[in-house]
Amino acid sequence: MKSSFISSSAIQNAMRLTIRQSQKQLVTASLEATTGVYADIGASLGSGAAKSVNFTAEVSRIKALKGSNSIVSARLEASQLGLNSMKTAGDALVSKLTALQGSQDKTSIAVAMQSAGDALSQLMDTGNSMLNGEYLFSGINTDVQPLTNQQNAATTAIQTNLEAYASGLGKPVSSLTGAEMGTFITNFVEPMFSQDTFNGTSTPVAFPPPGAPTPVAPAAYVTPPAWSDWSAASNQNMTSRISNSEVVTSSTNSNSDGMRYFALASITVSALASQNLGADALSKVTSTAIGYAAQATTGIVTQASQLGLSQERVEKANDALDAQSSILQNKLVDLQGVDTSEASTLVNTLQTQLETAYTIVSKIQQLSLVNYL
Amino acid sequence: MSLTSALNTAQSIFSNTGTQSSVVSNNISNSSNSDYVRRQAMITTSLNGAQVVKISRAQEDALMRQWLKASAQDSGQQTLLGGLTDLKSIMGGNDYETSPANYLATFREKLQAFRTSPSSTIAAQSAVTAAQDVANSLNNATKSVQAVRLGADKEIATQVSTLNTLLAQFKTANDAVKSETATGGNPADALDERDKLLKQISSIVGVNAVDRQNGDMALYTTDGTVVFDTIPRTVTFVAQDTYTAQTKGNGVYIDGVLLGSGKGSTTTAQGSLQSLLQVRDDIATTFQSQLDEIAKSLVTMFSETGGTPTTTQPGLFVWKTATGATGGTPTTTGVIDGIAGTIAVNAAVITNQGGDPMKLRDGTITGLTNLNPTGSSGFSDNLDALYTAMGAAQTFSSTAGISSNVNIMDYASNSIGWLEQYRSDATTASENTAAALSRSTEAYSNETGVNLDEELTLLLDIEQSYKAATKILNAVDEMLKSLLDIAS
Repeated sequence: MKSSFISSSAIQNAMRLTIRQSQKQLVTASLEATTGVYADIGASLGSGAAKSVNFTAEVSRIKALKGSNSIVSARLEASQLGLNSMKTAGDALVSKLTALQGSQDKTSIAVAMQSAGDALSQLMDTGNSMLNGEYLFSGINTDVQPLTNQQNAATTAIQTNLEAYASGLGKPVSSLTGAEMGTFITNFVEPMFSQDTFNGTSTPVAFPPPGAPTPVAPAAYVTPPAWSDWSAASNQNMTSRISNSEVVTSSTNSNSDGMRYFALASITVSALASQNLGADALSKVTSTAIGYAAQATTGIVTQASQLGLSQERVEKANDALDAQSSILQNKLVDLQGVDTSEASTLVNTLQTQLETAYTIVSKIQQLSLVNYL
Repeated sequence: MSLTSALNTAQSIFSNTGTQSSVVSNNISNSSNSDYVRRQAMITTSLNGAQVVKISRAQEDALMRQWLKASAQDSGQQTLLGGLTDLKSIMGGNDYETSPANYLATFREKLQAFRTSPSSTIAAQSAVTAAQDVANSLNNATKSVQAVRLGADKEIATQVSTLNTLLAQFKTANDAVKSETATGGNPADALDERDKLLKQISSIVGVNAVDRQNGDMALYTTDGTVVFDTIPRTVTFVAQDTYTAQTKGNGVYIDGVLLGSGKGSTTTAQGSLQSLLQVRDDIATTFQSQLDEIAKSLVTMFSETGGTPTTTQPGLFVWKTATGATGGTPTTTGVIDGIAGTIAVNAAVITNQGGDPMKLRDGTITGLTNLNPTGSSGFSDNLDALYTAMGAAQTFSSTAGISSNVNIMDYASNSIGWLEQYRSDATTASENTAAALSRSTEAYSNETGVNLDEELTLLLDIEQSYKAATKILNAVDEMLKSLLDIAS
């Protein structure tokens, strides 16, 4: 008998598995050649698919962080711009006051007062600037206008108290000495800006100040507005997460020393320079105001440099995020990517293989003894 | 006397060639029937010198067994792969677009955006919407996983009923084989029928066939449970109408013995039933546990603590227990079955349900506490704490099958990794079993199948011997005629 046997159906079906597998591979390989990634990541990578998901999420998270960093940067830049214009106004005030020093010239006084008023409105204007619907200088109370102009109330209170102070000393305002004026400014004017409130529980400061001369009726002391009447800002600044591990302060607030001294310098000049003071007293007002304005500028510069540090960190964080992102993207390509040229070569090989298989099948189909009988 | 004998011989040639050509034509007509086993009409000489045709069947038991084994394994592996592919499709395509992991990542980004602009209602609403997407994706995934389990359950019920029918038919075929063998008849057709049934049975449940006296055959599962012994054993299964995460599927009993489920990605399942059990009770259930752990972790992470006495209640994410009651903050370290199916975003933060998304910023969702008593619109501490918590490692139940001390984002992607590893291994294994089955089929077909050309050559042989016989008949006729002519 025969040593080996082959059935007709085996002959007919011999190429079926080959053809089926080649066709399946062909679809996969052509997809991979065009997309450059595995046709079925899960089946090819197994548990590596988790990494693929992680990397993709991480890249997307970095993108989101960079998006939110741009908001942080915008807030910081706008704040810097505001602080810069305040500083400019402060410098202008100082130069006008310096010109007034040692002179009682009506024009100079008017110029200085004008300058003080300008500086104050500059403070109000800039301090209440907004970005994306958020007040820049209100700390975390971003929906509350930080500064309210109390110029009239403050001026009236200072002038009334000055009258009362002078009456307590038993002399008219115009005869106050430089030293007396200095004491008045230190004890009556400065606390209006350095203290948040005069009857609060946290910083209880008595008004009138202890040891102040008792005024002669009808003159009397009035309680002036404190800084909390000017500023509704929160002492707590905004913080922002700029990378996975870094949180930076991303705003400043109008309770800072810079802005308090700024208002103090302006109000001191605008409330007192017009009070027909003696040369000595006026000179004291001017010099004190110059001192306050200088402190204001220093304070604002400090604030600006603190924000500058944050800006720098945001920039560095962005650089680090960019680097991270490109590393991750490369890893992702390494993980999911296929060699497209290899895949396209495979497509060609498979095509040839399939064509051969088809030819063989059709040849075999034609082979039958029936044709020769 | 001898001329008559020659005539007789010619007659027997006619008879034999008739039988032979009938067998050959039967072979030819069945050449493409894979369940047909080739017959051969062999001429032998009987003791008293008569030539008789014996029809033999090209039976090949060893290859048949191998084929049955390959078929059972392939059927099991392909069924497992089908189930795994169904589960994977829940997660979307190559980018896993619809996976909870993807929605969690988006949610975390939205939370970060909200953290940067805590006063923005739009940012708050985006974060809440992203949270709703997370909850929805968990709900949908749960529904789909349970649908896969229900599908497997229904398939088991169908296959069990098919199996019972096949076993009944197997009895008929087996009885026919026995009676034909006992009476010395030709059992070939009955054997074909029985082999066909055996092949169908083994793709449902892998069986070992044991041959016994008179061509009788008994069937045992690979575990040794009797499936058929003289009479078919009953296979019982009670299907369930609905599946939730709490539902435990019923077992399949063969002759009262529980059929075990397959194990591992290169499954130990023999036949599709065991694989279906594996998909329903092992893979889908574990995957559901992982979804439940993600949901449990979310509810816990976003819970708020406060009030007097200090209590903790679910905040942004709330859930319902199996009985429909509002769930509290989970304290168990184990898996809470079905929490992923009921997790939802608290109505207190959803604008169109009268809620305020800003409560997420202030930590006032439950009303137990207020982390932002001054109502500052730039308050971001709570959001930052939540954002950080999403990146912090936490403990997950070890029964869910994946690493238990990672952050929630990694856990969600590890869950995908777990499923994909399973599917990847199963894909490789299924390619192997398919190839093995194909080879096995070829080998079996080569041994038992029909070769048309060979049958045709046999037919030529038969034709020749038939022609020769007619020649003999003619010659004897002539000879007898001559003899009679002499006599006349």
